[in-house]
Amino acid sequence: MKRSIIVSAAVFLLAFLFFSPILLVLLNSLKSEKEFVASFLALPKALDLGNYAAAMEKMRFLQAFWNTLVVTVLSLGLLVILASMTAYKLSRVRVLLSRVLAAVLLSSLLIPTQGLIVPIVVTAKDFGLLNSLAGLILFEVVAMGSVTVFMYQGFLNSVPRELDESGYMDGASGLRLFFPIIFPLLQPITTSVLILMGLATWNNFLLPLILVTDRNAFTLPLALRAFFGTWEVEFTEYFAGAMLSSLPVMALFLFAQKFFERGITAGALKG
Amino acid sequence: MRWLKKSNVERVDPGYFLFVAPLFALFVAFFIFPALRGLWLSFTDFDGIKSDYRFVGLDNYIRIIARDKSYWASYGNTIIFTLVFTLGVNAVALTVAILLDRGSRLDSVSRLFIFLPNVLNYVVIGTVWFFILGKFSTYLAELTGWGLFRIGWISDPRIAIYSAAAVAIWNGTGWFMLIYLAALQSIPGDVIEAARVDGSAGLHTFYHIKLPFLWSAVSVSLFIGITRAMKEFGLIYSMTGGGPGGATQTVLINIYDSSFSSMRYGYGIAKSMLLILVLLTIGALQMKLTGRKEIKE
Repeated sequence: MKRSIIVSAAVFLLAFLFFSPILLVLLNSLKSEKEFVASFLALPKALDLGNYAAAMEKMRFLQAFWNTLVVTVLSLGLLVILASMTAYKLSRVRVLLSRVLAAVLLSSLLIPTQGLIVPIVVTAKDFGLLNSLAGLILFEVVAMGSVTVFMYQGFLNSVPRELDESGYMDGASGLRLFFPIIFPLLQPITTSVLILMGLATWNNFLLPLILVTDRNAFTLPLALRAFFGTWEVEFTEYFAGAMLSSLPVMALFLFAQKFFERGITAGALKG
Repeated sequence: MRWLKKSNVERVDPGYFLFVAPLFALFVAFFIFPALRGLWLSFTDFDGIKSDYRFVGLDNYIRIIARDKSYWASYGNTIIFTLVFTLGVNAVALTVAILLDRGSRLDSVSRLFIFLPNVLNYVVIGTVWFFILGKFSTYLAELTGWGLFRIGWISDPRIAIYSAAAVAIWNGTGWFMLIYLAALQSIPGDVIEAARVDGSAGLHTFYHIKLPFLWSAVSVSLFIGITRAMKEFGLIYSMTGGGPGGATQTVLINIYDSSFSSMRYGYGIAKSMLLILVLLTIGALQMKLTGRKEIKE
């Protein structure tokens, strides 16, 4: 019994080390520049949110936040609908065509976005999708599409076919069968998809970096990067910006920790 | 070959296409088309702007293979980064998961702290660690006088890539920890109970009872680690930009720089194509070794 307390305490110390960089940023984001220069480690003297106000303005936080939100929500919506529909047919209709389509998806898993950055930029330019949220959304959906289809497919293989058939008996078919009857059954895996892909989209850096140069279409990572690069950075203000861009997703994580944990392990171990 | 039976083939009705066409239309436009286009452009001198680019045959590939030292050096950096990250993150995560498996209340706080870095974006991670390993470290050196803080964590070209891997380990441990925790919790309780009754305890239980259950999680995690490290871009790019002197330039950073900074698209794409060849080989290897039909992020 006693040993387990010592182990817990030791692990907690290590865990605190993991947390300490975030704490350091938080503490220094509340200091004035003068306090910061005097000591990186001292506690802030007063609770001053001035840095946050400055950061919000300089990194155009609200605009970037809104852009990130739009891209994340619309990408996820499109992704969940299209990927679950595709997975449904690929898992139920076992014809040669399904195998071919699955192979296409697999190839896109092996050739990630990272390997195609230049062709993606060239293609986006042709379609007029540079500097647009629509462009980000479409490329996000494709980048996440194959993993998501496979996640849904793995889950669908465990959903009994009898359910489809009883739906047929009631005269429902096609999308009228799928969305009211099948899709709700997929809720556990949909939750996983939303969490895994939501986190990835919200934090995606590479895709916005290559597709967006116009400040009006900046997502949070780009806005933060511009803030770090172009202003004669005051670290305290920058830290406030870093906290601002991280707080929404940290809050969501604290609020839905169980879902996060289940989502990640389901994504990694199923299949 | 049962799925090829005639009765199954007949089931493909117009409804089938209604379900699969939207996603595949996007895949054709935004994956297959760019990929094939890229393959073609890699044989040209395309610079991203002028439309009268020329077909140059294998020139780009020959120049890369024969002369581009920095490209091949970036593979060296990527390999170091991948090895250190993959082994490090799995070792730390597995250790932590085993120690946290019992799950007291303090343990759940520990889990939270260890996972939290995973939700941050790469710009935050890169810039904050740029500060910590630079200014903050110097500050601590003055404060404590310890040599540890005098090391040029990101300014010394011999050390910077290891620092980048360490930061990536800090960032990723929580993710892998969750995979290992799930694997540990999937061990049936009666197996451990039976071992306990037979007089097994502590390390003995771990080696002989738990570890065999963990092997599949270990092999999955190793491959997830390798793929994740090979695709790593944002963290290193925001932290060091590939410097000092190219010491942390990974393949992706090398491709990014030569494509967009020097505007040599055709040349950059040829480099990407060679990278894809490497990634495909690893992917094939992974499927062969683990016998899995799918690879998960």
